[in-house]
Amino acid sequence: MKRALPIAATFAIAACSSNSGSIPSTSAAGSTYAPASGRQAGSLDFKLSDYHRACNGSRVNQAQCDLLVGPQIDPNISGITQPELLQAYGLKPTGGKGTIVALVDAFDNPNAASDLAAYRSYFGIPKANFRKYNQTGQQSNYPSPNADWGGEEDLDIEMVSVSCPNCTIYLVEANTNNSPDLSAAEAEAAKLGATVISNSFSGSGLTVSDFGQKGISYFASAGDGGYGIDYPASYASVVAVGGTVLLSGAKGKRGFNEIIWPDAGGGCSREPKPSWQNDPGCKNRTADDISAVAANVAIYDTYPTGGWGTVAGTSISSPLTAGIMGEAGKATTQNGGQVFWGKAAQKHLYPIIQGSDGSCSGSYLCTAGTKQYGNYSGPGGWGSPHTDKAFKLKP
Amino acid sequence: MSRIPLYTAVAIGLGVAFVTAAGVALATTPADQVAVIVNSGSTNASGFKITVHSNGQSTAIMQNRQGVAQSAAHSFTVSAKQVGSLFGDIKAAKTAPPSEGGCMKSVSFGTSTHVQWQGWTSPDLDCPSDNAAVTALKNDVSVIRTAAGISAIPLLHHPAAEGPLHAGSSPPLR
Repeated sequence: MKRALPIAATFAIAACSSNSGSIPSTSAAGSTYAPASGRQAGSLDFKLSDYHRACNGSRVNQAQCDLLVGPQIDPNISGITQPELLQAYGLKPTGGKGTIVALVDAFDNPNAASDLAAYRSYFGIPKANFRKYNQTGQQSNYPSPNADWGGEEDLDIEMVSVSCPNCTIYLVEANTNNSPDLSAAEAEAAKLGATVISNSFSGSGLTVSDFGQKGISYFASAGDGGYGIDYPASYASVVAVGGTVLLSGAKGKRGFNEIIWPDAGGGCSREPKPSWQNDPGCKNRTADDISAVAANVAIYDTYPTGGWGTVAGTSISSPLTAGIMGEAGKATTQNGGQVFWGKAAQKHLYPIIQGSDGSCSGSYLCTAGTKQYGNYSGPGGWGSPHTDKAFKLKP
Repeated sequence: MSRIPLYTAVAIGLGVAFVTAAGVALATTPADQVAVIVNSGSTNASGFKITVHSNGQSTAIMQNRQGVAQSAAHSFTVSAKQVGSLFGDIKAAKTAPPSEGGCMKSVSFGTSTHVQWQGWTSPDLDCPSDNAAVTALKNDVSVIRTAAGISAIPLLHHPAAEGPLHAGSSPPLR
């Protein structure tokens, strides 16, 4: 590592979401933070005078900007960094050598390799074993570039680098974002030998068979639209990963509290209920399975322009947790998110017990901390990683 | 049968041609036509709304996913040629068969773009289409977006709007 990076006394209070209006004015200095109506299950005591908006001016009321950011110890760092993510989740990744974690995306980011190298270099992570493929398995003839997907791709490969620096990282780029191309890319990732595949996309057209190969652990972002669950995260063969906000400054060794990111997806899907779920409020597949941070995370992205910056969304949490699965070395023995529904795994997860992602009559399907079904909630699943131990268990 | 003098025939011909041309022009861009281009934005990007009148006068505004304005309206002019292309392609796309298959979006970076015209809403132009009219409409939107000064959707994570952009090897100053 080039230099020690202190855990910043920072980050975000999910003050509101796209569904809940604007955050309280920071001009109310000294007042206690009042959660948006219907959003928070518990109480949080923060002095607004210690915080400021994540974005200024015209960019307020964006999901990414609907955050209050705390005092920054290290002025050179914007957003949550690699060492802070490791600290927050108790990760000391040493495994994963020889394991292929694939990220399936659409279109090309021509700067993916150099951006990944810059990210890893800054944090002292050794050079990546990284390869970029098109949907037919060529390391050439890449699709046309796309700025939106380019940001997604950098985020994906950098988050896997955090949680599994020793893993081999394959970025498999579909020609377009239509379903046949992404289906082909998904199949190609498996053909190339990936045992963990992370999917930070959603939509219609792919089927459960695209995510059903034995010996592969599939992960997917739960969605950024609040209460409700997207595909492919709805499939029981896929680990549905919800979103949280990390709050620094907490007492204890961890140093962070964690609450629901209010735009995280989660809820009762339309898919058949797997035999390993028996929660009372949903006759179908319930999602999410687990969750991880989805706000204010630092990435390095230069296509088409840019550099360091912060992003939000469950596009963060899927590759981050997929990397843990790769690092833990048990990816080939998994069955969707089944392992996280067992009590043995839940001992190694941080329960998320505050926050909500929408309105559902107070049900655990959108509200954390209800105790209606243990520590489970739709947007938080059974919790966020607390070391890699839950990922080392067999279902 | 009386003969029409040559100059009269030419005059009539020119008149018919003028009326026909004007009619075509009117059919392409009637004075009361307004098309609205709406980009949804994403978790990490602002969206926008561009209103194009058939006389070329247009406005653009940045907005979030809930349609809340994030900038003042910016006026600009779309060329007559481009206006004709836009409205012509709208009419052609309106009769296009729906695309088969699905479309996937990046969960946190994906956007949707639609054109609205006289109660009709186009297919999502951020999804691939093999229909020539829809593709042409997508190209129109791209050109008009550039004319509006929205050549690339600003990603919120890039701090350019709030200070100098640091594209070097170190993260930017907060």
